[in-house]
Amino acid sequence: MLDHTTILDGIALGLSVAVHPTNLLFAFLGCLIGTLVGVLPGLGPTATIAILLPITYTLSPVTGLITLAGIYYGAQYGGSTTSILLRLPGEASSVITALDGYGMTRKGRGGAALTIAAVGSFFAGTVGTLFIAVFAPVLSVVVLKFGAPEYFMLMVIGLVASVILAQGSVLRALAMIMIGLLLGMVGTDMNSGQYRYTFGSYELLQGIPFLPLVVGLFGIADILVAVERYVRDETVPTISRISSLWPNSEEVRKAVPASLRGTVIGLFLGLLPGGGALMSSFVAYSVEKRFSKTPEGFGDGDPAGVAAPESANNAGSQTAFLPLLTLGLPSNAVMALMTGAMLIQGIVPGPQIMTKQPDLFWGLIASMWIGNLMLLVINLPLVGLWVQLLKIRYRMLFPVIIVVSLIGIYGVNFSTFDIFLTALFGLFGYLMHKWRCEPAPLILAFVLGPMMEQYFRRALLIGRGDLGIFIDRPISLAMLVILIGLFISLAAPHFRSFRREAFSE
Amino acid sequence: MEAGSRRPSATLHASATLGFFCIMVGAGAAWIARGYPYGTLTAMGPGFVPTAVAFLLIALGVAILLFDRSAPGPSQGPEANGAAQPVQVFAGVLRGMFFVLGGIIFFGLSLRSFGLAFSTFVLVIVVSLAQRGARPLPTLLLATAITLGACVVFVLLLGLQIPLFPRF
Repeated sequence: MLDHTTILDGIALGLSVAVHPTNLLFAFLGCLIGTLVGVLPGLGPTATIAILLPITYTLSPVTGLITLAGIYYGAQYGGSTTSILLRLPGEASSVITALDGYGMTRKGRGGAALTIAAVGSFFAGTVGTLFIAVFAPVLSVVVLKFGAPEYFMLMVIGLVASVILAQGSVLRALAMIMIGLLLGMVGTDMNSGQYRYTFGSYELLQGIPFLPLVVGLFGIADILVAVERYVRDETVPTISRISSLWPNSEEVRKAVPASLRGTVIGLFLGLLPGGGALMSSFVAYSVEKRFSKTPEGFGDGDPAGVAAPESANNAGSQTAFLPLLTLGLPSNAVMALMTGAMLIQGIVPGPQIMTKQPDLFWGLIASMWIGNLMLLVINLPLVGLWVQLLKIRYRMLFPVIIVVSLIGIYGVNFSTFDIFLTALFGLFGYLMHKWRCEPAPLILAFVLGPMMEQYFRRALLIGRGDLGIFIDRPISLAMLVILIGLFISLAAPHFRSFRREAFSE
Repeated sequence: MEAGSRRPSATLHASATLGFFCIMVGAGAAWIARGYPYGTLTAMGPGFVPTAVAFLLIALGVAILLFDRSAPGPSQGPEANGAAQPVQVFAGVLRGMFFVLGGIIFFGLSLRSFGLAFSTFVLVIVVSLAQRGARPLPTLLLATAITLGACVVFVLLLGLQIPLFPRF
């Protein structure tokens, strides 16, 4: 069943879906809007996707997801542009790029840094797409053997790993998971029809709507934080002139092997739950630094310090789709948003996507590659234009964000209740920021929670009320061991030191 | 994968409020879940999992209070520089919250009866006040531009069924 022809057929099918004029157009629009918003100060990929999510609901599922994927990549490219030229990383995973990217800009090689980042990302994206195309069918078959106990364990591992492998305090993140699970329980219980935590509200019978939650937590909360920050400090960034976009031969010689290594690192780390792209770029950067003949040049504009993390985070953000598409397990906040988008479109992410909706599955994969190609074409020639966008003052920007996201939310259900919920979750997101709690675990738990509860109840039904069912079944037992291992690994958190190292700059 | 970066703040204070928040929410959730049937392990009722999660949340809240005093700060990005007077910051916080959230709530209240154009216009003006030093004329211009843009894009181009003008 899994020979090369299946994969080739799949890719061919995917390309035929992806080059359909509508899909091509929306992939293009997604990349364009994603870059545009990603370049704007203070908006990372997660916020961008959250804000633009409602707009894709009117599209067909395939087109909608293709657009979202385009927005995601676009926002990431946009973020790296600002971190290279201005040392303004739009999101955590391009913080690393800012070190040497901005270093190159200071040396007058900003244009070359942009090209290195873009070409490196494109290369990594291509490899990442192929990787998904090859391994997704294999994984989907393995997963078909899973029963309720295995799925439950898988999701617990996904949640716990996303907490342990990501940044910040584990206790706080676990608390956020619990809150996310509770939020996910609001509404009508599927088995019994019991209303839970609805507070007598008619609107909550269907559960807490996804959009107000994510727009509040990511969009509005960010604005509340930024408004407070920019009150003190609003300066128009100074943009140095961009010289030639072409890297010279020495830069190429340094960047190419770094990009290759970064890609490989990203491919594998991207699979892990919990900020795949983020960890990929950190690890890739420190690997380069360790193996470099001139480590003292890092932080001061070494092309390898741009190529490696940029390739790694693009490969990582690509392969993060693999657990989502095959296991139905979103590994980070962006993937949770994708899951939400799929669920609202009536698609349940998981192994059955590939068999039941091959056009969606392969179309999305093929359009990832096309999206990467488009970004290369859009970004480099238009970089002058993108940079002009940075002159937009935040005070003009944030009202636009609020208007667009509110009208988008209202347009989905025509419910003003959703607008009030957005304000409420915005406030909560702001508090979470003050508490230094990451919103990602909460969103993941919110998305996975209802499924987890179902699997848990079903597992115990199969096991006749005996919790031993999680130990009796070999796959489930293996997962339990992994889970315990994850908790033990907390004792030796290596990558925290990576982070410190990176921020010591 | 989070956008933005964190500002150093009073960790001790933060973990105290967070811990209490978790305990309160957990206790509230457990209290409400009393009314839902628990069922048995074999056939779990709708109250089983919520209660379990609520108690885990309470436990985590207690753990945060006790052990999480000096949580290592996540990314402290380049924006983290620039110290400000605490009083000023507090005023800025309240101002931002009041106008941004107030603007959103007003928008929700007025959208149905006063139409998209009016509601958007007021929304932009109100949220613009969230930042100190908003000047009248640019704010009015901005509000006009965004209102026009929103009406054209969402109602005329995307065909969203929202009334543009007040209905009396």
